[in-house]
Amino acid sequence: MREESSRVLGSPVPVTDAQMKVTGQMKYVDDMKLPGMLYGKILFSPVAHARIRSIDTEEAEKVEGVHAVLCYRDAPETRYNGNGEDSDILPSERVLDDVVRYVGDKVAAVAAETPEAAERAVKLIRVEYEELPFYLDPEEAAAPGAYPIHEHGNIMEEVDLGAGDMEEGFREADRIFTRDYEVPAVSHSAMEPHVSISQYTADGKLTVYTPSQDVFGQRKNLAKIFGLPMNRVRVISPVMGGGFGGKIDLVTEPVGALLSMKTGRPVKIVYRRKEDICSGTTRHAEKIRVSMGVKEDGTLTACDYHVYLSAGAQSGATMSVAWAAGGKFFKMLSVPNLHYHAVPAYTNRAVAGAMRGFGSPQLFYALNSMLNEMARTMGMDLCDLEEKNIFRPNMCDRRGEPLGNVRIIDCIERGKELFGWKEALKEQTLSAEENGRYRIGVGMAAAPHGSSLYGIMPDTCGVMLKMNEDGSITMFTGVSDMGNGSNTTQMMLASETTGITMDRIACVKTDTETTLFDVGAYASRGTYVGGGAALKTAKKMRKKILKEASELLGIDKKQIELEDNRAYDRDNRDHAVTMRQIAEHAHEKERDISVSSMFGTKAAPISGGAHFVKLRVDTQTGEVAVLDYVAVHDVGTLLNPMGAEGQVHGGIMMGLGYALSEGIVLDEKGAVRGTRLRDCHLFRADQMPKIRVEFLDSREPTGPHGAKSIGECATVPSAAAVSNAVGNALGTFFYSLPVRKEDILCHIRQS
Amino acid sequence: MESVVLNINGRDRKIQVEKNWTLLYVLREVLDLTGTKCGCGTNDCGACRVIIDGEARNSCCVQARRLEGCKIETIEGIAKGGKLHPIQQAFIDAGAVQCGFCTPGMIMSAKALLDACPDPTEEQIREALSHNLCRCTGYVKIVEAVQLAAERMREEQEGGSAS
Repeated sequence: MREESSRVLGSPVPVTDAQMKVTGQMKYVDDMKLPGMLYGKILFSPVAHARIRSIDTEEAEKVEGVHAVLCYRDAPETRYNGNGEDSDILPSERVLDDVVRYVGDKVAAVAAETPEAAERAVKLIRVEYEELPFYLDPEEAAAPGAYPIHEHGNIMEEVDLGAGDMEEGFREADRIFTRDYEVPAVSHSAMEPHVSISQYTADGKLTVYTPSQDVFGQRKNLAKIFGLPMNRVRVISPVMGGGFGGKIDLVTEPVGALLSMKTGRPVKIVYRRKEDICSGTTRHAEKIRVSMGVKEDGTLTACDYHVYLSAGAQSGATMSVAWAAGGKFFKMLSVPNLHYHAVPAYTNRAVAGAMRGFGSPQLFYALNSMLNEMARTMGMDLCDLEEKNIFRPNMCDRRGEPLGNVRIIDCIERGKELFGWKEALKEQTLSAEENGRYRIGVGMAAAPHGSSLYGIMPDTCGVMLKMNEDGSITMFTGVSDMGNGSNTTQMMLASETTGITMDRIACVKTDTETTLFDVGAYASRGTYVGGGAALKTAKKMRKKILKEASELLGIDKKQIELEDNRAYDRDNRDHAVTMRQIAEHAHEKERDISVSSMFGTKAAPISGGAHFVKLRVDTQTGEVAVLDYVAVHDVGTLLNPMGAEGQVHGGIMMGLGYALSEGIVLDEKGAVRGTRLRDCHLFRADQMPKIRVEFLDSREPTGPHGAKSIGECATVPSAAAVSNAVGNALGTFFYSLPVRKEDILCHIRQS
Repeated sequence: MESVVLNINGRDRKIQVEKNWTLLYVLREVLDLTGTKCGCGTNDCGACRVIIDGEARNSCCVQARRLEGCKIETIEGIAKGGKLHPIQQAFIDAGAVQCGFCTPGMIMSAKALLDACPDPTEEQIREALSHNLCRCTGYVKIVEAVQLAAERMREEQEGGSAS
């Protein structure tokens, strides 16, 4: 076991709730039962778009143990946007509506004493649908004359951003490449399905336990839907069994809350995996057209990007995703003439929302795919082409936004070395020349990512620290930890700053009643903003501790060091007091060592990474074996190497799936084909390659101890690197994800 | 309902079960052993993995009434005398835990492997874990944790037999 020390930054620290998780003692929301709790079940729509002509709940109500059967007639008229960040943008959703907009949309809900009774009742609800035209493709939904999925039309709000002069840029080009790309919707597939327990009580208060990435956003929305003041809505996220963006938006919570209000009992709703896949949110399916102009020497002169985003049935995070991807579009390529145009359109599919990367996995898949095609076609080394056209540190993008200490270029350089890029390319050439059954392919891709929501909305986080009578402390934070270790990082910063060891810091988190506001787990902001807030508050506490210590030790504050639960004279370590003595002294003097602060970022520095992959394609079966994978990232100062590595490993697993196997497939009526978890084709332990991860020795001056983000950047370049490698192995290009073995075989047969 | 006696973590538990009740249902809903998780209910993710007579199996797909006379181990039963099982400790030390939802099932798969095969190759470890899905870790640190646990358990064993 490690000796506890308060000098923790830079050392590997496991998530602080790991003991609870390895023993099975951690209580996830589905592990909880409240006295008198009922079980909620939802009737989901079997059709893609319909008006409910009639709904008969009589038989369902007769089932023994049923307490309520609800439909649109029982639901508030209020329309909301279930995404916290976008809650004021195009509110389109009702708790239960008289129009259903996708296969899997909620029609009606039952609360009963057992899950079985609820399920029996759901099956007895009789619904007559008047079917309406439906659209699964965003381009068709956006076409003039398309039947409106919502009253305000199918195009939400087009985004158009630019810099320079596109005509001039393309005029300067020696060659112009134009290609269409298509990417599928993807299921987050967090291991913990969507679940919530809602309890409305006689005092007019609604309490919701839910694994949520955004408890304050959920509170805002629930307060609005049910007309409650915020002090009468308490949202608590005890622990999250994975989020990845899927647990930002409201999913089960409004229905659960309504059932609880109607029955006066706590109501649990837990989605079966099939329901989670069909009725949870997804990553956006997109259709993308990219045009790039390039000079013979590889200098890009222009890049024009046009994307249709499939928003799904409700507004959700789509506008933010369209905007965020638009922002990221300007963050890597130093091309002078750039244009981004997004058409976000409602479709009759599950609601698309945040998913790790927030529009960037799609964007950088398309851009890196085109760069790969360009390099190969023009006989250039892809790394040289990328390096020629990306930003150096401390520049502003073409719209004047500062990028911070962005070092993607160094990630590429180091990655080349570590991976053995030149040798791998030779291997690829040799394999092509041999023309045997197995072909070696290598690929690479680079991408940036931000570290906060700054520039989009005020990015704030409040943290409180309270010293207990024995000198231990409790941190109160609204920062949602999906398991990625954001709270652990906050505690590390508090430990380093106050000199109190990690084992003497407790964490109360994501409870709207007891913790200060936090924006939510968006934008890879856990370390940069959550950490920044913890650091700011810890510095305040440090001052208070030093004041007490100075009085007790009789020396100047500047002379005092705080370390390992003690305060001591830096010239005489034995002249010391313990944190307990400090706490007691403060108490005697009627002073309290508790502090709080609200922290807001003033920047959104850009992190970056470059991924390199070598794989082997079996030309007889179409199977791909990934042989080697190198990822080099710039995260600024590495606060917790263990946590950061874990993020990259997981990001790669998700990227491999996005590239080769995942993606939601619909039938012609809009129903999901393959509703079991095995049908999501997530990578398993025996399919994963050897992964090598390295971080640059780097520092972001605005970050807590020099740190910036990692969570999303970890997955953004991955799919492009992998799909490029498959294309390079076969001497072809693929223009859509995933590249399944069937697609590979199809290509081989066609050529 | 019928009556069965299930031996769970070394204790006989006499319970009434319906015909179609799975072991997972009995563990979570009847016995409040919620350490075993439900991630799919369709034999795909391994979050519900337990050990039955030495073999790791998904409890969502086993009928409880067929298990009379079997020895069933769950995540709640493997720490002894307040001390974590070496696999549990290794999962912490190696950073194999993120969201933790897959962790109990992963640990049970690892335990079944190491009980039968104390010195597995990386390939054997990956094969043993291939029935468990994890969306957070890319399995890298989980594999490292099992290697670390195997090493510590062998050392313990050798230390124990030498003294």
